[in-house]
Amino acid sequence: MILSIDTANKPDLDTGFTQKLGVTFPIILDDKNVSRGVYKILGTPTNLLIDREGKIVFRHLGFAPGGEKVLDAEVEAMVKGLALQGT
Amino acid sequence: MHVMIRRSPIPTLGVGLLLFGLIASTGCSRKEESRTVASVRATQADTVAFSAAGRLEDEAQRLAALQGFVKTRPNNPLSGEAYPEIVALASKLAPETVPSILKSFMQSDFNSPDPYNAIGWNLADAGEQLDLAVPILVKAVAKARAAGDSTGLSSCLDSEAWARFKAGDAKSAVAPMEEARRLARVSDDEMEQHMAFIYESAQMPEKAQPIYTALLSHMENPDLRERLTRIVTAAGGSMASVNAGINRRRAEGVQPATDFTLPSLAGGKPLSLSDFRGKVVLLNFWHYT
Repeated sequence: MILSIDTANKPDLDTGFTQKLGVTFPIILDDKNVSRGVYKILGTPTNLLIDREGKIVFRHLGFAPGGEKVLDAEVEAMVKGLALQGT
Repeated sequence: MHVMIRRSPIPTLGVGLLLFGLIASTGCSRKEESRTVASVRATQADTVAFSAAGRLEDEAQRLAALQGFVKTRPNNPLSGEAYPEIVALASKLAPETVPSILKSFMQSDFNSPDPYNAIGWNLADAGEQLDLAVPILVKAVAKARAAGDSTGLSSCLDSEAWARFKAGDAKSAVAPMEEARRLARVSDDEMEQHMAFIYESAQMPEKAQPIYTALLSHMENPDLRERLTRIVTAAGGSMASVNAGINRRRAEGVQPATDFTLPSLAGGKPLSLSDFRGKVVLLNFWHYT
C-alpha cells in the first residue's frame, strides 16, 4: 500500500492528475501541516515504511541511488517479517 | 520531482526550487502535457536565442533543463507523440551545444554557482566529460564559497567530489566530500552514500564501514550490505556481530506512526493512516513543483 502526501498542499492540481499519471495509490493533501508539524519532515522526498502494526521501520531521506530496488527489498523483508530479525 | 538544477542536499519544503517549473512538472493530463511540450519547445527556442545573444548563463540553464527532462523520463510517462519528439529535440540540441558551452564555461565568470553546479553535476552523474566537469565544479565551489551560502556550498562540494570519484580519483574526492557532509543542513542518504563510496575507493574502508552501518540501520539496501560485508570480511571481522548491531539500531529506531486524517486529491472521503492498519504502507512525502 502506497500513500503519497503532497506536503505543499496543492488542491488545485488537475483533478485527473492521479489517473493520468498512472498512479494507483492515493495522493493526499497536507492541509494540517502533518509533514513538518507531526512527522518532522525536513525535505522531500522522504519515504517512511510502516509495518502492519503501524510502526515506522525504515526511513529514506532524500534521493538514494537504486531507490526503487531498495524499497522493494525493504517491503519484502517487512512482509516476510525479517526486517528486524537479522538478514 | 527534482530535475536538472543540481538540488540542494534535500530541497527545502515549500520552496520553489526549480527554475523551470513547467518542465519539471509531473503533471501528465492532456492540459499539463501540452503545457509541458510547449515549455520544452520554448526552452529550445530560448537556448538558441540566448546562445546567439551570448547569454551563456541563461543558455546553460535551459540546456540543463532539457537534459534533465529527458533523463527523468526514461519510461515515457507522456502519452502520444510528445515524448519521442522531446527526446529528439534534446538529443539534437545536446551534441551541438554542450561542447561549446563547456568550453566557454571554462572562461566564464558568473556570480552564481548554480549554472556551474547544474552543468557539472549533470556531467558527473552521467559520467560524461569528467575532465571538464571537475574544473567546472571547482569553479562552482569557489563561487558558492564567495557567496557564503553553506547549503549551496555543500551541494557544490558534493558535486565536485562525485565528479572526482567518477573520474577515478577518489583520493582527491575525500576532502570536498567531507566538507560537503559537514555543511549539509539535513542528513541526506545520497550524500552519505557518496561519502562511503569515496572512502571505500580511497582505501579508507574503516571510515566507510560506520556509514554503511548507519545507513543500513534505517534502510535495507542489498548493494550497501554487500559492500559492508566485503569490508568487514576483508578486515577479518564478524558479520554476525555487525548485523546484530544493525538490527539493534533498527529496533531502537522503530516508533509508532502518528495517525492523521487528510483530504484526498481525488476527492471523496478523507483518508487516515489507520485505514491501512494491517498492511505494509510506504508513506511518501513529496511536493509538486
